[in-house]
Amino acid sequence: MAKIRYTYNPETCKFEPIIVTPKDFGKKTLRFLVFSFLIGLAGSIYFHFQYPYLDETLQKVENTQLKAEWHVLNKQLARSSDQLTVIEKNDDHNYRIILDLEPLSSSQREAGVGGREKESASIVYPLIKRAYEKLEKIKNRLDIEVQSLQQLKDELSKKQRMWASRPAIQPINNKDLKQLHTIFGMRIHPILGYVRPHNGLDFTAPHGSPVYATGDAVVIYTGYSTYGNVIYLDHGFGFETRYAHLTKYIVEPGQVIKRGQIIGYVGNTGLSSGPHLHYEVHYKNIAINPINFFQRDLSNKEYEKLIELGSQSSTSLD
Amino acid sequence: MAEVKFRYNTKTLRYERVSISVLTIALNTFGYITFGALFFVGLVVLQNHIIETPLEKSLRAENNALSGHKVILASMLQESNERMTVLDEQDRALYEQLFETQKITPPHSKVDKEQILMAESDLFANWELATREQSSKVIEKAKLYNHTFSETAHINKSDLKLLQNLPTLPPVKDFEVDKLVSGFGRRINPFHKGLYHHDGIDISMPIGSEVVSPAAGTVIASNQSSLVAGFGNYIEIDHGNGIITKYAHLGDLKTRYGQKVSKGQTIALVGSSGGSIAPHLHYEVIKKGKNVNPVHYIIGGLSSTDYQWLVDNSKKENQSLD
Repeated sequence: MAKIRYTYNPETCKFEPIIVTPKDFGKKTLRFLVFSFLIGLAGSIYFHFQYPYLDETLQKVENTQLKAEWHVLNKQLARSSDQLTVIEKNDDHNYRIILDLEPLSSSQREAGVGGREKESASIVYPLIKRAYEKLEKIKNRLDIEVQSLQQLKDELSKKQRMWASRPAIQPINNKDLKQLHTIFGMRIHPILGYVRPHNGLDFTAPHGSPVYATGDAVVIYTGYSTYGNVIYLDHGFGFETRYAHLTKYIVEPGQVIKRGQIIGYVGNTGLSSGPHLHYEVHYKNIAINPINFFQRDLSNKEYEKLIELGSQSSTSLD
Repeated sequence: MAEVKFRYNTKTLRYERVSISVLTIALNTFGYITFGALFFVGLVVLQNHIIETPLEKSLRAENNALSGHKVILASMLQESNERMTVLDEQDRALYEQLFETQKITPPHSKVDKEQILMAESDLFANWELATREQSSKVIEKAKLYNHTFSETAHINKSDLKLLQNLPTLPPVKDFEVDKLVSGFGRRINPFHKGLYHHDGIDISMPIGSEVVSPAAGTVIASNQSSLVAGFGNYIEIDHGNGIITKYAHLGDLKTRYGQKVSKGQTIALVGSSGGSIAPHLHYEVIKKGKNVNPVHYIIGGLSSTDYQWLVDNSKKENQSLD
């Protein structure tokens, strides 16, 4: 039951019921809201004067935290840079010296490949800007180092081809070798009987013993002369080797030969007084004593391993 | 002005004044406080968003930049670190190809790794055991050194000269342990890749580096050779007491036959003459006609860790530069 409130009207001297119109209700509500708003406003003004920098403080706390994280990032950057420096130093001081290449200067290393837009260009904060610059430097150095290692790799494989093609082993297996005549230069020819330069070494070995190529090469000549059946191998890089008095050769001009590959067999053809191999090494068209181009103390086990390598690769070649 | 309110009491049939109860006051107050608080919070938030001090504004902007770029930079760094790992692998592969052996990290970069390992092992028991073991090792070592030192202390005056004439200096200027690229003993020949006995050590140095005499002596050979095989330009020095040192694959020779040289004197420059695949110094020590490991003599100016590394590294059966 709605409680009806009354008010005393002194003009009419009567109690009259209070009728709450919507207008009155609205007025009341508005008054309530205005008052509570004023309370809130007063409170917030007071609060603002009491703690004027609350937001600033919050931002400052966040800022300190973020800066600590950036400190860690910077440390990681520095570590990255140090790691790269180790690789670069090794590249410059070890690989480049061994491969006979000029070390890269620091300006070359930091130059980068170019064309990359700079992330740091539009940033005003020095902390961020510096970090980006550091990272960009590292990136540039990485690019250069990748290129550099590739260059070193190419150079090494070039050199390895060069080393592989150099005459470096005995053309006759020690197992077959009866005697090595180390006379190089002028000597009396055993058959002709007069002094004539001897431009190679003689390996005495049984008839039919295999003759091995002493380095990777291309066959440039096979044929018959006063030296009997001969093979000329071009090793490139100025080296040429010749094998003479063979009973037969099993290679033909233009053929690519691996070190340790059998190219022919010992014989007694041409002006020869017994089965042996006459072996010559020429560097830039001058005959050099072949004794310099193999190791006599190389064990036979090692030698046979090398020949084995030659026979393997010869089968895989075209 | 508050109106006085009345209520009609049906029992007494009279109009009675309505008194304001405590509950009504409480409810009213509660309403004002609640709404007041709501307005307060709303206003504070609103004010914080609208009114910014310049410092706050700049801080906010900086924080936004810091947190935004942090993510970008971290991902970029990770990317570059991944590339670094690849690079490191390539570097190792190149090393293996070049020397036909696995790479050992030189002493200076090894230190860091050890420290990290130590920091990671948190088992105190292991620590204690390791420490005890290590200290007993140190004590043993100290005893051994003590013994050696006491022996050295009893050297005759005539032996002093012998000691002074031992080739203890590294044979190149600015020697560093990682310059020793191939040691004494069985090594791989770079040309035919077969194993052979390497009579000396190879020290990789750029062309034109100075080769110095490791002790006083007399030059007993100083030969130029244009042959593309063998030792190339080489020097031999007699240090007396049956010790001879040999230097091969040299560039320019700075000493003549018969010349007396002092310890540390420049005798030649590094080259790549003769049968050499790279600029380096081939160094041999010959004691009473026999080749010995030169590493055992190079003790001048090296720390014990460096020396240990030198000895270990020189034992690797890798490829020589010939």
